[in-house]
Amino acid sequence: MGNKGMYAGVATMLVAAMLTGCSSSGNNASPSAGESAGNGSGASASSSAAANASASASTDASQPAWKTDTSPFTFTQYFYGNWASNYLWKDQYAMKLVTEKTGVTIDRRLATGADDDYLNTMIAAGDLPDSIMLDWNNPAVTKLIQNGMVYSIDELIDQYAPEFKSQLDPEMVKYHSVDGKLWYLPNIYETEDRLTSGVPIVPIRPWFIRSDIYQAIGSPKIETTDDLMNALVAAKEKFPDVNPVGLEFFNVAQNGFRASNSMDYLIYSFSPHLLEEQVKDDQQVLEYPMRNKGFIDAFRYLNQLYRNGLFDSQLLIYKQEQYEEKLYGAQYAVASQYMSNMYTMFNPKIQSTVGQDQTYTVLDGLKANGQDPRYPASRLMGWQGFFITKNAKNPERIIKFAEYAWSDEGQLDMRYGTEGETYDMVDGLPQLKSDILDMKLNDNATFNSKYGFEDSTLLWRAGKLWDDASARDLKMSQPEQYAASVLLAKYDYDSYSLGMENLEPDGSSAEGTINTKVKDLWNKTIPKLVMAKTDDEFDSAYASFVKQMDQTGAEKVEKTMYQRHLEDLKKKGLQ
Amino acid sequence: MLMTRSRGGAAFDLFNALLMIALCVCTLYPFYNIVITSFNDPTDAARGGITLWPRVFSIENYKVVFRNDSMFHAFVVTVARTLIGSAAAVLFTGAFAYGISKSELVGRKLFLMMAIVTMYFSGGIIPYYLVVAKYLHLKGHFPVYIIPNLFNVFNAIIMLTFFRALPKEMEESAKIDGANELRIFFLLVLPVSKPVLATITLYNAVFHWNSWYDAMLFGGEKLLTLQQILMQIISSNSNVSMIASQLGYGSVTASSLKLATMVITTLPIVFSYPFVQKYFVQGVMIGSVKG
Amino acid sequence: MSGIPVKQSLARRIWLQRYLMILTLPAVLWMIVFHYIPMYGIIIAFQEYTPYQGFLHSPWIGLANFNELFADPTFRESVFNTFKISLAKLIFGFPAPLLLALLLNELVFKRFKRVVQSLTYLPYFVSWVLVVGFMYTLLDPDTGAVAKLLVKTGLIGDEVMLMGSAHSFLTLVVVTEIWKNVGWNSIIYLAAIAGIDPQMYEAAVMDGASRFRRVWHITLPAIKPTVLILLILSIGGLVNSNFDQMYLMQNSMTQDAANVLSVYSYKMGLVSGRFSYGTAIGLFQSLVAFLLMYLANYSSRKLTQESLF
Repeated sequence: MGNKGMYAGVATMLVAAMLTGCSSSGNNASPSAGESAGNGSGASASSSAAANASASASTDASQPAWKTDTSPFTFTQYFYGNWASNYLWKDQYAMKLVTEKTGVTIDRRLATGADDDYLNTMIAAGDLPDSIMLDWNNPAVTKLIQNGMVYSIDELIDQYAPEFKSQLDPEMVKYHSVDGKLWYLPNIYETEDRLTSGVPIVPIRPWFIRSDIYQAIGSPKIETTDDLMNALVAAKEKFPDVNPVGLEFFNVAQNGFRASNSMDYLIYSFSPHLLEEQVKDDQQVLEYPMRNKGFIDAFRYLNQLYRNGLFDSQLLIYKQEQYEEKLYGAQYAVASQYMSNMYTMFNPKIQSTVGQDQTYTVLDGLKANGQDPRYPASRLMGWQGFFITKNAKNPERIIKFAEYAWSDEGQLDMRYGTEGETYDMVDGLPQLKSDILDMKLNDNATFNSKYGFEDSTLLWRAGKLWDDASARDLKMSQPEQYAASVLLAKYDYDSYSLGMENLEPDGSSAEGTINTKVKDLWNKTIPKLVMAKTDDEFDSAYASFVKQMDQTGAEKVEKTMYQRHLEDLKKKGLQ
Repeated sequence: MLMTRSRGGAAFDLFNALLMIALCVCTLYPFYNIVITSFNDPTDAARGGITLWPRVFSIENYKVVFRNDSMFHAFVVTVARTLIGSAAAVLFTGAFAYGISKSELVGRKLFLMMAIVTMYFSGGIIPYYLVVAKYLHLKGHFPVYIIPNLFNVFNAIIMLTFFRALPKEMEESAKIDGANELRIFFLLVLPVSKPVLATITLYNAVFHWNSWYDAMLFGGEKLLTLQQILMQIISSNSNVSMIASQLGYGSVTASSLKLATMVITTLPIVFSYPFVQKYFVQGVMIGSVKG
Repeated sequence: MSGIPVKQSLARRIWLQRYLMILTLPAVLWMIVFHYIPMYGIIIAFQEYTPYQGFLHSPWIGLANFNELFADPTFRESVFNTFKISLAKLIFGFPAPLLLALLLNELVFKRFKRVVQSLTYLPYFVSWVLVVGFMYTLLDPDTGAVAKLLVKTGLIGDEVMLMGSAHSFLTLVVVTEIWKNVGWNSIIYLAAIAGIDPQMYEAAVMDGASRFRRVWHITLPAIKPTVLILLILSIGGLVNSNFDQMYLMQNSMTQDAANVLSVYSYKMGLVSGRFSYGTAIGLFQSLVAFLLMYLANYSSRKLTQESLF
């Protein structure tokens, strides 16, 4: 749920980011195909994936495997993410296009309540659908693999679609292999050039200030955390009915140790070197962030806001939609929200219902203790994995389908549809027809239910072509958002080499159990910290948290996380 | 009632009536507030303070809810499972209760104990899931809503109590006329048991109407129920707000949509109640299961 | 017992009752399929269950899960909370419908009585998901109509977060439980009261008994069996504090207060995927519930001659 914003964000980014794979579209496998994708070849084949694809195309003149059988075929798929109703196949344009070409229909299902609960029930009962889309770093992935519930993708490829292999980025295969085999195809695996191309990465939830309030308090410079505090005090004086600060919902189990996605903004101001500092090579541990002084100072800052009457403690128990509802009414002086949501959902709605003057403007990164913030902006190592389960009645058809989805043709079909009909190539980059692009920006629901672009196969491949196309579109249609992204992206650093992916242990292991307890403990400590009446109270609540965390056995988890950190480095070839 | 009135009695009557009115207000007000808020302009509603009347009347929430194309289908599925499921469960549970109400039944004690134990022990969701989905292959088929919900121990006890209170003479004379228990149950006992049947039907109907967990586990897109849609809206907030915000219904928010959906999914079951109300008081007796 | 001689052979007796059996056995079969067969799942409480090895081949670990359980402070907390909440519900929630039924019965105008009855049933039709949703909306200190009202009447201070306070948690749980179920649960009592012979009241009126005395000496004794049976069932339910309600009302500030057995079992078993541990918690819960119900039934039989079985 809560992650939804992020996913939505990821998806948008994709839109923006993804087109890369397309660069190879010119080469796309089949001479016989003569698909529209071929026209994309103007772009340079900069990504390794693309290079591979072209290599394969030149060596293999035969038909791609998916073309050998295009009879009607339906397979079931569970998508981990109960918010994703856009992804259900309901005769949207992009879905029909896939079915027309390949004969394949995906019967995609979502959980209604909690995803973990639903997934674990299916796993425990051994009753999985034909395929699963699940975050590659979800703890359940280990369970699926160890219990032998999913096919190895390489074996299926060897057996049914050998030419597919050459289309996979070897670095990706190396990174995502477990026990020497690839068990899933990760979507949005970004390559190094993502940091330099496409829409600037904003790895945090930016904070925004309501424009009219900002002017009313004299448009002061807000560069440091103290500036922000002063601005909020001034805002509260002039607008006593407006809530000074609005943050996204708090929940450690869902959002990780920062508790609220909005906290990153503060955390990386107070602790610009947090990730590096967590790794203690001498002790062979990777510390919980709660041991980091700067990390805790971010919560201390929240406590100061609270004590100055600037932070409504109700936010600690709000659900995301309660917060968003107030944000739609522009009821916060300063609010945090996912960048693209703010510019494509909240501001437009505020403009139409409350007034242009009350829309939000982005704040620059905040200095704390004289230091600039640093935002860890790794490229994405992938979002979800596409698993083919042993329950699949016809794994052959599914792997062949994956080959199609992974191909440049499949990528273009999913994102842009048919050339000339729904998109044109402009300067070597695909671009939706202007009426469709308009609809996408202004009536996204109709756009989704009519076209379903981005939503069909979900096997987004990242790459420069897609990055460039989306960057161009964003610059053109959302200049303000683009500028905001550029503003914040200047604090980015590449955290790829820090080896911080997928650190937390599987929830059902002994360490995982401790980790869950630590999370529970931290979750209930946060309100105590934020609502502490004095510094002493804050300090003693924190001290008692650390003590309890240690008693629970936190160090065991920190050792495990260190090992997983080493493993991550190894898989990235950095150690 | 039939008592003569003293002054104190009248004072008590007044006090009692006022108390009941207060109780009704407490019961109703939350519903009332939800309804009026759902008819208020959503952005305005976010300011709060709607207490007695919509401040800015609007039906945008409802427009958006009804634009959800699965709504109608889900409504049909839900009505079907509620009607069929309740009727089937009443007959099935009633048959058991009737059998058990006869103290001469061989194995009666065993069956009863078996039933009571199930109120307390269960193997958990996973083996249950296996039975329903893998062994019985009910997953994805409509009967998955009906068959696993055919029986309920608590309802059986209520029906048992009722059957036992029926006059024995009626059945005995029928027996002398050569009728077997099947005939007696269906042709004699059921017709005179309308009160308990109505009550248990409503119990079941409420259960079926409000179920969503089984629908999630065993249903699938074609068997989507209303409560499941409601749960989706509740548990997947920002998607809804995304849809709503971009639907052109400018001001609809996730919370406001939720309210409208709550109203729509609750009204039908609430309105079904008056139809069975007259049977209620006679129908729900509970007593010992000893024979 | 329509004249069946007791000494007949079992087979013959069953044959004579074949029609009764036709009515009874389907439900027995149903119980076996949907309850007794799945009960083999309980064995995983004594295993380290993995789906790959299944129920039959997962390694046996004896009582290891239970040892861990009894050493687990969160589990102990959940046991404590469960009893605390259930006891509060029993003390305040159990008499409420009885009281309502008695008061309803004293109402002079039948019509009015029916209206009140219907209105108080209303919340029963709404699922907990919605009720808790209402609560978040109505108790929001900034915008909630009920919270505002409570502040105005001085019942709570300004800015009190009712939904986010461990102090008000228990009160809220009990109040909403009563709000939701009081009307519905009073039905059973009303039915029992309706079954009382009116002549008894008339005689009492003749003797000049006050209204209170009539209730005390006629109504209450007449519905005692009903009260006791429901009490026995409720005592068994002491360990089953309503999962939906607890789970939905849990947030970072009420996390400890809402940690009850069923919620803990769910979180461990299905959310974290520790199936065996979750099952062990569930088994503990079942055993205690059954034991309590059995004891309640036994004591009631000894003390009052009334019992469920």
